[in-house]
Amino acid sequence: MIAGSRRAARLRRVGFWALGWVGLGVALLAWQVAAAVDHSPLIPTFTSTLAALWHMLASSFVPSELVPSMIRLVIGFVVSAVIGVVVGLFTGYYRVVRDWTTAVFDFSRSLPTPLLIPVALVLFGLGGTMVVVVIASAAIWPVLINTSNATAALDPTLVDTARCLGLRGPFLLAKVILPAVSPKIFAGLRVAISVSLAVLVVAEILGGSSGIGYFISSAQQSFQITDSYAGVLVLCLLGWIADSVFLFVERRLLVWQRGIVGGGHG
Amino acid sequence: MVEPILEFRHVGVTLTGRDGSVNEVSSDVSFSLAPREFVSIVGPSGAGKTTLLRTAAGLRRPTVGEVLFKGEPLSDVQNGISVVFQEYNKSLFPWLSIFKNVAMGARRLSSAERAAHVRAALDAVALSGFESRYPWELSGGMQQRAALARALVSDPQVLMLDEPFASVDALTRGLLEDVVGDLWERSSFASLLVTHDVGEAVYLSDRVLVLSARPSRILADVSIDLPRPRSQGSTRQLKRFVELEAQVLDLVHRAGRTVAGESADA
Amino acid sequence: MVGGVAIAVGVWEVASITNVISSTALASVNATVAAIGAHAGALSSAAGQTLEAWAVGLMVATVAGVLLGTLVGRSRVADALTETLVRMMRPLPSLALIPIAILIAGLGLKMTAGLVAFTSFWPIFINTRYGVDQVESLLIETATTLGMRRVTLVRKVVLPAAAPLIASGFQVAVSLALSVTVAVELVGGTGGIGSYVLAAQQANAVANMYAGIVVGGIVGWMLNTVFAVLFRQLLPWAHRREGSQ
Repeated sequence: MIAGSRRAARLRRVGFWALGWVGLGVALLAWQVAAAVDHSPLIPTFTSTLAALWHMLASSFVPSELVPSMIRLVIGFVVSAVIGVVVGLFTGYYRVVRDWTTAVFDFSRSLPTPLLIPVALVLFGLGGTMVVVVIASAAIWPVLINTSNATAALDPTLVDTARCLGLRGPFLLAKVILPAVSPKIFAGLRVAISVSLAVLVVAEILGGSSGIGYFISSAQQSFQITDSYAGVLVLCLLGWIADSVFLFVERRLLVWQRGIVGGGHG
Repeated sequence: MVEPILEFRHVGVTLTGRDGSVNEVSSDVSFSLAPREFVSIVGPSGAGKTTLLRTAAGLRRPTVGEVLFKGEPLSDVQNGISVVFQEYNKSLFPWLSIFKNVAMGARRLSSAERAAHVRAALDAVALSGFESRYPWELSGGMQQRAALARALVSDPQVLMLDEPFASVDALTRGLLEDVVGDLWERSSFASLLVTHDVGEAVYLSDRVLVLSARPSRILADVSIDLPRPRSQGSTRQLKRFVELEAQVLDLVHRAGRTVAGESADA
Repeated sequence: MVGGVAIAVGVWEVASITNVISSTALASVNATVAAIGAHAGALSSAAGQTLEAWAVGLMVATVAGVLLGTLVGRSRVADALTETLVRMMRPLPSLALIPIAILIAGLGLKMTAGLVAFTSFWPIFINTRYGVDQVESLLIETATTLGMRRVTLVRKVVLPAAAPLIASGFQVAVSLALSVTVAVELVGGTGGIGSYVLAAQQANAVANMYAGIVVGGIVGWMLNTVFAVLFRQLLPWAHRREGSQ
């Protein structure tokens, strides 16, 4: 009885998962049909884009554009994550620090990040360093703000309990506060990844001499439209892979959280 | 007379709000707790019972007067004092298994000793076999027993209980009271219980202290001369139990009425 | 709070006076303020242009996002059908579409607003879908016993219950839309604050560049603040839980 209903639930889950791919397929088919009917040189079909992508993957695209972009992305993201978590814990835990930094942080995170690209260009010139700096300064905010808010909102009982158990200083931080706010940190990191990817592209369009953004824009300028689309497709896949890896890691690390989230109903 | 293990000398606590508002929680509280003694503090709601317990645990310093633990002034959390809070769902670390939660209370022991102590503590609260579960997989009563095991695994001299049974149903509550009573009879710790349930205080204690409304003082110190060991079935039927419960209840009601107008904000 | 701002401005000033960062890259506070004063007209018309594209794009995104989000959120099948698509599109850096959008729609308000709409659609759509899906079934059952059906049910119960989540999606969209607008202006040179800052950088007018950045920051900060205050006023029930603890 129980086993049966469990199997039904599982079947339904698989069904919904399959429906998701059906939905994607329908969207791609719509693209294909629309492009084939329209015949515009500005909108290539999905299949020709795939062909261009296939061709690119075998060419110098991977070592000279994709790899540099990935390296910039990872460095920028890691820098922003580390600084964001550390500063966020600090401002979240100490109310005084929070009071003093709120206004400045509010302003900084409201600043439309692309505006920093010209400054980074002046400071670092064209190239990878500039891109990494721009990524880090954009992606830091979701991490920092999430960490800070979660730390500030920690239940006093939790901190009291830890103190009564003799935890203090770095131990308190590492064993109690960090795990307690980790779900929020993860949510912030997930946003930071997509911010990183977006900023990467603009920075590379404006001031990269290599990378996916540079590739998409120079393909457009030399009227190789299909390559431009293929570049966007690569980014799409990259974003999706990063997001999936993230969800997977999050699910493994935060097993304990499932019961709390679902706890109210079950 | 034996030297008290914990002593309050003219303790007053004043809380200062963020907006600068000043709230005198207790004005002049003096009492002592002898080794192996079981004392309860009852009082009308808003009398600052929890604040007093936090002061007794060393989580906050008294504004005036002093708290002595083993004859020494208490200025911070201390080895030998364990606390169990009301909200087991916030005081157990949700990201740790039951075993690891309890082990947090025994961090001072070597790892070999620790495992044995944790198992013994879990056994004492009848939670053997649940070591690898997460807190949210356990019922409320079981979670509170785990919190109790964590408090006792360090073999404390004083066990402080802050409304420990307020979040569970009546039946579980009776069972938990007996768990605490049994553990207390079998071990050598003194216990300080804060509760709003007069019957529970009388049932468990050697003495019951009645607090006035804010700013609180100790209005009465009632000796509970009921025979031990006690049990829910027989002790609560005793004529003497009913008398004592009525006497304490009457004191609490009178305490609440005297300043009913002022405690509206509490 | 004001003290924190004063310190930040002080650090900026010290950095420029001591030449830690060369004066070709960092203008002093004074020079920046002076530049804002001197080019107030050009700056405010640039800000106006940016806000126009921002507003048009965001409006389209909000209408489409809430409408489609509600429809999809009310149906389990539609929810499942769009799941993978959304998961692919959500992290897609729509800014990568700028070159393609320029080709298709040319340079201009239509292209900028279109891209802004496309980008800000996702957080609004996703939050609406999730919010509508998460409405307590007890609430819906109660409303049904009160005789509410379909449109009335959605309008009177489902949307208000989902409003806090929709609002937070919208707030994400507010700053996202501004970033996209500025990015398009930078890449396409279509006017607005983005083009202003880039032009200043290319002309080596450092103070002018910082003036544009500060104005952009103020615009962003004001938009965020206005909507935060607005939603706190309009949706008092969204903060109920935080308030009671």
